[in-house]
Amino acid sequence: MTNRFRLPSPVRFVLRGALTIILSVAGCAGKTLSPYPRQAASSYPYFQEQDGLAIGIKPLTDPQESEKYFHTDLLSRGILAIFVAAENRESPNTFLLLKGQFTLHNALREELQVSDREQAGSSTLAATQNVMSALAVVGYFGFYGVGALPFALVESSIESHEEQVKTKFVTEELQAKTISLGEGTHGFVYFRRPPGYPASGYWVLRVEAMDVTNQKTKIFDFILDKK
Amino acid sequence: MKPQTTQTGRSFSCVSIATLLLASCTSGPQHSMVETAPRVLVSGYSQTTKIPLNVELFLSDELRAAEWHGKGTRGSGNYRLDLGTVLAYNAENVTREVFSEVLVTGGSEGPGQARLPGVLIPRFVNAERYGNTLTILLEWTLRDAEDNVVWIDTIKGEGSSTWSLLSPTEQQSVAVINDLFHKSFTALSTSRAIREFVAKRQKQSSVQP
Repeated sequence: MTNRFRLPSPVRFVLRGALTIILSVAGCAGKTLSPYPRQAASSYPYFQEQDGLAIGIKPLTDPQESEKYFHTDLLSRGILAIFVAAENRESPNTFLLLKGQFTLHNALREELQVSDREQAGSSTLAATQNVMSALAVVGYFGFYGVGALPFALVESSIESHEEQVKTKFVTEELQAKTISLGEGTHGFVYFRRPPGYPASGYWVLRVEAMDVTNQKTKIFDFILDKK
Repeated sequence: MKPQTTQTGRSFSCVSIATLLLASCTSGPQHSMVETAPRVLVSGYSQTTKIPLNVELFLSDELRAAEWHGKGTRGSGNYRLDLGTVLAYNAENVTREVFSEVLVTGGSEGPGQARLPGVLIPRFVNAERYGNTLTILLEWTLRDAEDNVVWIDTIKGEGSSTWSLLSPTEQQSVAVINDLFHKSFTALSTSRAIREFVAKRQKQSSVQP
């Protein structure tokens, strides 16, 4: 009697799967990443002040926090991102902060320079893209019977996600700035994750801030533990 | 059973046709699209007393060649937006708004060729576009006659587009250039380090006979 249209169960299964993956990938790509919250330098886990120049830092080691602000766990992808906030609270002099003046040392004084953003960014993007490409391959075989439409959507989402992470790296990076009385700056510096970090021994982040008034350099050493 | 099979077959045919049509639209040779940001002159800077300093503005070849590269989506090819001309044009304009005397230089001789008390160097750091927002980072450095850094700041300009008859790129370019140079004007004209440098120079020149 009833002539109601009903798809066979294998087709329904494939369509349901396709819809779930498309929605989850599209949802991911459309989500805007919020900027990393900016606070007073003294409120970060590591803080030092010398002659009125205050610097606070926070290594981004919490996977959830990394996911929230970068859409990926940077540390597990081989990148150590450290957020830096600097303020000239009471010095009449002007200080210059450049990302090239940040170095990471271990107990044996082996030194790591700040990664060039392109290098750090591209390695993250490559890793991110691998995950997304794997998803796309599953999608390709799963959706072969339905056609190219879902695959096209998944692929555009990969590119969208890649662009978003790349933009985030550029716009949140610490940039060159002189800091006079009452001024400040903030942003991320990126390092390739040192082998064994953070489990093996201790690591020291060295910041060299140049006083442009008298051409002297102030050195800040932050001993990074697991806090 | 027979009508159901027929309908299923029909729906499969529809999906297959749609798929083939879509695939034909998205395939084809990859091409590169090149656009130039509109040569807008940013105006409406707030009225302030010009800083009494004779500066050399060094516009490097790198700045004049600044561009943003975008990887195209499937079938749309790559994309390039030339930014150098509009950046150099507005860098000169904003410098003339801030300082009392400006001499523009460039070329392979490098900065400092005019031997003036201050050398201002704008440097294109990067540009990125995500969604409907274009971001440009421009670094400004002021050096003294002895090549010491007096002041550095990196300005982030952002410009977004909305639905309109203008192209999104044109909208974003105009908006980002406006934002970038208004922020640059504020940074240059309110810098404590620059004001102190000028005051020190004036004091020195008044002491000398």
